[in-house]
Amino acid sequence: MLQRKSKTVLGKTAMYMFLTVVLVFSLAPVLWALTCSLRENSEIMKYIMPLQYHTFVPDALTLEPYINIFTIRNFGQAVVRTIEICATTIIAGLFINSLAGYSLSKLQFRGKGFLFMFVVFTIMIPGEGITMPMYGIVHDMGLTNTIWALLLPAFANSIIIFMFKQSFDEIPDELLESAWMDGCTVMGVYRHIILPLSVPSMIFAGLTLFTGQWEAFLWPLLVGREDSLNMVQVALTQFQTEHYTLWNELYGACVITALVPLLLLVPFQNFFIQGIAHTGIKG
Amino acid sequence: MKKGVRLHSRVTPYMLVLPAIALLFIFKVYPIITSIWGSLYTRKGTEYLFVGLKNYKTLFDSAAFWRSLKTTGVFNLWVVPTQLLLALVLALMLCNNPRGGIVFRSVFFINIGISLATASTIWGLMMDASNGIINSMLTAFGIAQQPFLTHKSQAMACLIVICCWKGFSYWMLIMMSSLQSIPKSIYEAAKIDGSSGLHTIWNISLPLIRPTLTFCLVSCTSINLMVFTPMYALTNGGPSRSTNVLMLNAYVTLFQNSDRGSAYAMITMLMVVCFLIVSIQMRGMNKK
Repeated sequence: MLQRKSKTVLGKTAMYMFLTVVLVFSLAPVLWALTCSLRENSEIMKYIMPLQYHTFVPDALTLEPYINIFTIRNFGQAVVRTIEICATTIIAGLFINSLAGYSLSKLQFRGKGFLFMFVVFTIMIPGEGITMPMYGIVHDMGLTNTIWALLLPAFANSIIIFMFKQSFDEIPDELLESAWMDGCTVMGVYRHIILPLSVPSMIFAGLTLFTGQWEAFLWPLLVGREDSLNMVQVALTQFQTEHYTLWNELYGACVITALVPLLLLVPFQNFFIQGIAHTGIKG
Repeated sequence: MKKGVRLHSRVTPYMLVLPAIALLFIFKVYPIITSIWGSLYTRKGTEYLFVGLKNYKTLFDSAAFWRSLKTTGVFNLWVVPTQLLLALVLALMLCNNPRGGIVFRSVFFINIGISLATASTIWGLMMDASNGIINSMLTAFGIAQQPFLTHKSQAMACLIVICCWKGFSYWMLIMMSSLQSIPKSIYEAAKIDGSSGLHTIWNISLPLIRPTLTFCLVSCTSINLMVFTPMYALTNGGPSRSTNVLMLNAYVTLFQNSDRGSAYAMITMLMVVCFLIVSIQMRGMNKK
């Protein structure tokens, strides 16, 4: 008995040691970026080598890097533009995908099975892989360097349609039938029955659409070359090539690009986790 | 809903589903067709001439392509198993809500909010060869400074670390939820039968979450085969082409060399490779 107990204690200790190592690996870069973004650039360089107390703990804190990012570097423009693009994508994407899911789940029409198979098939197409031929298509449509190029491809999302269909399938048909009998229209049922019952799915879909746009890199790099269409991730790498030595501001820009999604993801993390788990298990 | 009873007009369902289907067709399926179609043409001046499979032949004859394919393969062989194993071990540790588990889970969650481009920038500065914090830490421990991203034998390893850092927690969360959905009664039954610890994990937990593991393996592979961002942001394929993955190679071919035919041929090949690997993985995972 005693032997068994000491064995579990040993196991627990090993487990927590491992978890702590991963925790440090995971968190240290974030904290490092945060501290560096709050100090003078000269101070970072002064204390970086050799390693000392002040390497990690700033002498004096300053918000100057952040002020510079938004005034001199014009990074704010990219942030605002990206937020606009994200908001538009969320609104349009929620409509388009949930209506498609609604139709595939609750309405009857010929070719429904085929269209659903089509949606499932498109889940398997690796998104990044097709970016370059997609550039060719968008170019032929004359949409490169317009906001439409950044918006249109992000609206329809097969994983989200799939997720909506699965979650609408769980809504009992009787509920819809009685509404239909009472003379409710298709859109009325959508508004008064489907929508109120699918808030968690909506939140998950919104977060997915948001992170997809916020984290997008290769696509905006190809089609958003004009300054006014710069999205954050592209702006960040441009900033890095142009001002590689301004470490405090660079780290500050990283903190901003990481903070915005976290502000949305952390409060809704349970919806997000359930959502990805749901599509993960059933997909 | 009863079959045959239709309480809405014939067109409504199509009107609701068509916008999504049309967009998916234009931006998901049509690019594949374009890619295959475009790879059969080559540019002569301002015109595109049909050349059949010539672009593929040139590709297969070029050492740079094979090297690029190998680089992509090596990257994947490291990143995919490392990310998934780390995710699985952490998920198994955290799925029973041990004391303090919520702290670890929340911290790991942060990595999900940080994009690959941002992660690359942060790590790139930390790995700076002359003033990076990692080098100054190495010096503090009496280890020689390393060139990291600026040396061909280390650059790839650095990028692998960055991608694992960014990626593991997403898979961890998926695996965790899946593990938590296993009914407690199954574990209790196993315990009564004398199964414990690793034995239970291997014989009960893992087989029960196999669909999730398959999903993670397949998604992780297809994402990482298409890796582009960290290479573009940090090494540009160098030093001496050691991190020149296929996507970056195709990007350079398309936008710097304006050779659309070859670029599309590369992308088509990459998608074929991706499809083959994924089908093998799915078969393997279902058979066990």
